[in-house]
Amino acid sequence: MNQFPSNPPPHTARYEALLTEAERIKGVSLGRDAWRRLRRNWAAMASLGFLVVLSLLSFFVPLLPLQSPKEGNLEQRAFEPPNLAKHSLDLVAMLAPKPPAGALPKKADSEVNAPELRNEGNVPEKADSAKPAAAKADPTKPAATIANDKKSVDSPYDIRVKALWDEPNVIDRAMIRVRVAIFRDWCVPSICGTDQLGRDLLSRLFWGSRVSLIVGVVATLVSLVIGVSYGAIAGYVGGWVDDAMMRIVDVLYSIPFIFVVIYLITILDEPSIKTWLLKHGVDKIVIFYFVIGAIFWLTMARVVRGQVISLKQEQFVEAARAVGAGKARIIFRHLVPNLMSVVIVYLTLTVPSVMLFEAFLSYLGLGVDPPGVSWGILASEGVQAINPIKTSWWLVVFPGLALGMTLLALNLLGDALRDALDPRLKNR
Amino acid sequence: MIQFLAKRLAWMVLTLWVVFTFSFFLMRAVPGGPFSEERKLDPDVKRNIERRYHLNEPLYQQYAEQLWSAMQLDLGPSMRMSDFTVNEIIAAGFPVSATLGILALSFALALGIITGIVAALYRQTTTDVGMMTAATIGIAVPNFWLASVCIVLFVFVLPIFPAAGWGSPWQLVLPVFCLGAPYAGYIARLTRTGMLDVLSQDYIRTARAKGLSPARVVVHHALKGAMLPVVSFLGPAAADILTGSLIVETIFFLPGLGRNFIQSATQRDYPVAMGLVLVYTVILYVLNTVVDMSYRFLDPRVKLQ
Amino acid sequence: MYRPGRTLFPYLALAAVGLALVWSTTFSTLPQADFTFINGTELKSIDPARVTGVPEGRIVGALLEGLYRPDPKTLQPLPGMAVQHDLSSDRKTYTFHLRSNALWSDGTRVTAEDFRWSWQRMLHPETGSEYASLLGECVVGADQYHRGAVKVGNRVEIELEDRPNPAEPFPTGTILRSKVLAIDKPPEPKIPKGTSEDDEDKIKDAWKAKWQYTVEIDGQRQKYCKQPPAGDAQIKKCRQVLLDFSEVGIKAPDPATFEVTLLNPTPYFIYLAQFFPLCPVQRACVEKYGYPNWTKAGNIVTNGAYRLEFRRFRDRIRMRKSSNYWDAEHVQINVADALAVESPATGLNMYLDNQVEWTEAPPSAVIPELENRIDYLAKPSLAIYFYRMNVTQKPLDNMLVRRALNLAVNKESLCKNLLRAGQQPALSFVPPGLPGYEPASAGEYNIDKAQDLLRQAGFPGGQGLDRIEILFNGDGGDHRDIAQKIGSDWEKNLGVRVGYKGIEWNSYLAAVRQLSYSVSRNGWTGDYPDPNTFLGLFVSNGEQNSTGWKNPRYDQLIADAAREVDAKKRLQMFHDAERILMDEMPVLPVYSYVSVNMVKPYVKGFYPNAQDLHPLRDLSIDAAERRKYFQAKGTP
Repeated sequence: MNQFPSNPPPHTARYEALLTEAERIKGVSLGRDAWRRLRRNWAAMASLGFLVVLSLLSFFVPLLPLQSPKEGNLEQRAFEPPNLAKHSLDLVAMLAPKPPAGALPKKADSEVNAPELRNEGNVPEKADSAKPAAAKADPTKPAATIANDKKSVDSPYDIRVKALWDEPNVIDRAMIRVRVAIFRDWCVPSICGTDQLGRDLLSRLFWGSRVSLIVGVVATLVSLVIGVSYGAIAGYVGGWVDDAMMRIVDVLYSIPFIFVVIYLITILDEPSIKTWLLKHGVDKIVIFYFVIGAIFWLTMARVVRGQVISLKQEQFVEAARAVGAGKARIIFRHLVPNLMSVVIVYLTLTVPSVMLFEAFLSYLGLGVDPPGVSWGILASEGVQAINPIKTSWWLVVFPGLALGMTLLALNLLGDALRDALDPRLKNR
Repeated sequence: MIQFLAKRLAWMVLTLWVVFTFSFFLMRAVPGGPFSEERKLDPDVKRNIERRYHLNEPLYQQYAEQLWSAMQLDLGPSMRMSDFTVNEIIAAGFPVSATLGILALSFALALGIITGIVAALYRQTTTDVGMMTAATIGIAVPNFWLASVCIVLFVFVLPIFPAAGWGSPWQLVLPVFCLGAPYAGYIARLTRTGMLDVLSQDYIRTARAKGLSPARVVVHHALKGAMLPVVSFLGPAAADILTGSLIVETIFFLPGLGRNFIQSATQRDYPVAMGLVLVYTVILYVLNTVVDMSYRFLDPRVKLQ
Repeated sequence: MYRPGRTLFPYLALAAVGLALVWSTTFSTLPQADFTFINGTELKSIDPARVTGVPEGRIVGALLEGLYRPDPKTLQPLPGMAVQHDLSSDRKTYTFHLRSNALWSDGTRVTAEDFRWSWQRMLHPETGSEYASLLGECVVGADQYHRGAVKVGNRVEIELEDRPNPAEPFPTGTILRSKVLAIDKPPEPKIPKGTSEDDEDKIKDAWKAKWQYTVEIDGQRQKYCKQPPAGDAQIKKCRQVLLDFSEVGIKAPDPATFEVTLLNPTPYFIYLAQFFPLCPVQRACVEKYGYPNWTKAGNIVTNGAYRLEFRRFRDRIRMRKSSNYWDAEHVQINVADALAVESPATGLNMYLDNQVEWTEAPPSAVIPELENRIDYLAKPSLAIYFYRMNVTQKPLDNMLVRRALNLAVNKESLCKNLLRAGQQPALSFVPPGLPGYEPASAGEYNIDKAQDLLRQAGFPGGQGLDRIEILFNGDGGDHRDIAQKIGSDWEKNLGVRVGYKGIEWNSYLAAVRQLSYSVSRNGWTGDYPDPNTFLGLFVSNGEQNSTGWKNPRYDQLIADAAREVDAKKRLQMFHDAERILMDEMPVLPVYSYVSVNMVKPYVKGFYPNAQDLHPLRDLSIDAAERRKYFQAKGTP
């Protein structure tokens, strides 16, 4: 190295030439190469496109001009086959307090105000026994105002929104406002038919996609975090630690997990525990993430461990160790990034199994509670509607299609990624 | 070999103990006793029943007693279906699930391996894409959905098979198909990948160069190597088929372990649920051991530890 | 290196497949039964003292026969083991005369002693019969015997610790009979506040076990105790201290006479005499094999129209006609199979596929398609679907809110559009159809009135109301759909926000019992045709109350009705009680059930009835019509 400065200029030119050449042929990184090969696989690209569109749609579902996923019309619309009949949300009329650009019909105005007037007129008459606790504390105030102090009064619009969409969160409510501003009361007709309670299946499918996708993705991420850390640590540390850790995995592998899941979900569903959990913001979907995630990490741990064992013989690990990097740093800074290809493939293949598992749990009656909805619930409702005499085929076909197509896309993408990321298949 | 088996056996006993302990406390943690009935029992009466099942004793004592009797292979009476003992229930359900499982697995293997080989040989043709898409669809469809559609199609639209029940081989066709289909899909994909790996290896090239017929190359040389991933999948798959059969068993009304399992778990039938978990654990362990041993037969490079 | 395993492996796998195939074919050797039906869930037991369910009732009723048996058309008592009975002038003593040609399947005669012992066994605390309260409520001394309640001066039976099988109450250990002279109780333990009901029971139980009973046996005063204090040899250990059964109003003076003495004139007692939990079991058989072995096919001795041929768990029960049955010549079906199919959809599939002759409760979605068929048999039944409301919780502690909720449910539409089998919207808790009884109505669907009530309660337009959660057990789609329909009515009509929670059956029962719910769905089937089976549930300390609701006047009316001799006055008392129940509305009646059966047209003797009872012995198969039916279908 120290010869360099002593060497005369002609050499510099040569090195520079070499350097520029090296820069020019720097070559493609593994990721870019994989992407190039992936792009050639039309099935995978179609799947990827489908999944991206699906995720966007399911995130922005309140923006779409869909019917209510929750409010049905049992009397007139139960088991309607797919049709193009018009349907209105009956929501714009409720916007009275803040009419957007004065576009409100007059008839609606009176409808909105009437109940409010009636309410106020009747407040003082209410029965004594029924006074809310707060009313006793301050007898001069009418009870309704006190209730209002506690919670701001819901406008008819808010009440209607809650009736249509089951207490949407802030983001969803904003999206619903935008949707109402753009599409007014217009909705897409029930092109997928309606269910036994007269609810629009199309809308339920879109809202259900949220739960299904979120459960699939988050549970997989949970399993990923556990699996990668566990596998990487076991593989890197090696020796008796590895032995012990892998034995634990073996033992866990031998437990029929469906059993554990059924029990965990029943335990966590028990009213007293559930109330406590809800107080801490843990609802059934969150429980799903963790319970399912806690099962699917085993395979990940094994795969990662295998990879790490082979990787840790590599020179870059030696180099890192030589410059004095700590174990944790080597594992999480050097080894884990190199596992990305395995991990990505595993991810795309685990999401569908998790989604299937969710469907399976829904079939057993352990799914999310109504009015929440997931594809698993829709599919199992469809299955219950199957009979030889009268098959409401749309209840069977559409949820099946939605679930099947998504899982198919994930599987195809997973396969293609595995092929694309496999260095042995490079340039083939 | 014997040392390997002995080691495995020791691990199995340990696993069983862990599973026993884990499920024992898990089950006891579920609120609502096993005897919650619609008609509330008089406290005195309730205590008498609890005494029969030792539920009135301290938890550790129950644990010790049950562990002891489980070690003697006596799992006690069922709490819900009290005319039967757990051993009787397992003995009645096992043949059904085993028949169903073996047939489904054989079906999945036969269909999967053939499809996989064909797809690998005709790589990146329409045949390959079509077969692999079919396999992926098979994996992607929930089996309760598949089963229901099959019932509509093959029982009512085309009255070929009986709707449900257990008694004749004819009644097994649909359940075996519905149970085996996803695994056939997996196996097809694994076989294809395995075949592709193997076909690019030197020894295959050598075999081809020797002038062996393509069929002989595939069957005698390539297949054995290509089966490794399939074999390693078989262990978990067999276990999955056993547990996964619970939906199929319910839909087709088959009196197997899966249906008993789901019912006992949701009905809080502690002894039955526990017994079935232990049975499943043993089966899983045995299958995994068999798989590990079969590695050795299939790949001479593998040494058993 | 040669390894035999490598070549053997594929063959072994093949052999396993072959074996499985052969195995599966061995099951087909089962000959077809003459009559196959779907019997719902697997039976908990076939021991009449242990079961409560409808599926169990069908099988027990086929295997065993009580004093009377129900007429398949009218449900009125027909002669069974008893030919007739005499009723004393105070209407409190029933004397049943047993038939002389009644035989057990082993050929021995069915005697009054069989009944006495069977009823004693049912009442014995260690048998744990859920239906023991049926006798406990109306028979003299039965409740005391069942609860082990003993007072000074009572005659008691003291059972010593020498039972052949400690887990079984019968055969008993040595029994000593005597009068109780004194009971020494240690000071009653203090129960700390906040103790759960279960723990409280346990503390009390431990305390009661230390009670010392002083009795005189063979002229000597002796002390007995379940848990004698250590070191005191004077006090002897015993297993049970129960009221002497001779003090209970159940007696068998001679083999053909069975005598029951009641606390009150109980008009529905005659229906209990045909109720399956009160069927007799054979003492010799039970004591010889012990439970559960005596219920096994080879061991069980029956007195009904059928014998148990075999049971395959979660598959089927096969029964064969018993030649020893007194009326065997009128029993038409020789071999009957009861299948344990839980899912109504599977049941319907098997029925339509001609695998079974009778199935019940097809899924509601297909009922419009089925109801015009000749084999569709529906009949309103004596059962109510209702919502319990937890009156200890806000806002349901307010009677006006509860009434508003009731009036805001469009039950008519629920029945017509969702349930579809002709269920009747329930306006009262007691379903219609009890002879002479006029139910008290809770008011029809009326949105204005409901909103008015809610306003009076202080929640105009639903403002200020907490979210109300409907709890249901998650095993079927119907409960969920019904809850969502009712919830959406509440949301739409009252502005109440509604949540839903579906949980597993046992957690659900626990939640209902511990009052950790706001609104929960329930069903109740009448055990006998009398308002008492419904209204008796909601007395203040009723085991089934589970709403936190109490009303002393209601309790008084129910208690008075039990003592009332005049039938008309009695029913009026029940009506008044129901009026209170419906005004205060701790329970919201939703609809009264309809029993739906699909029965092949060639099955004769099947009559829809209010309790949905269809004794197997009265069914028959018209062979000619059966042939015609299958010829028309084109299948063998």
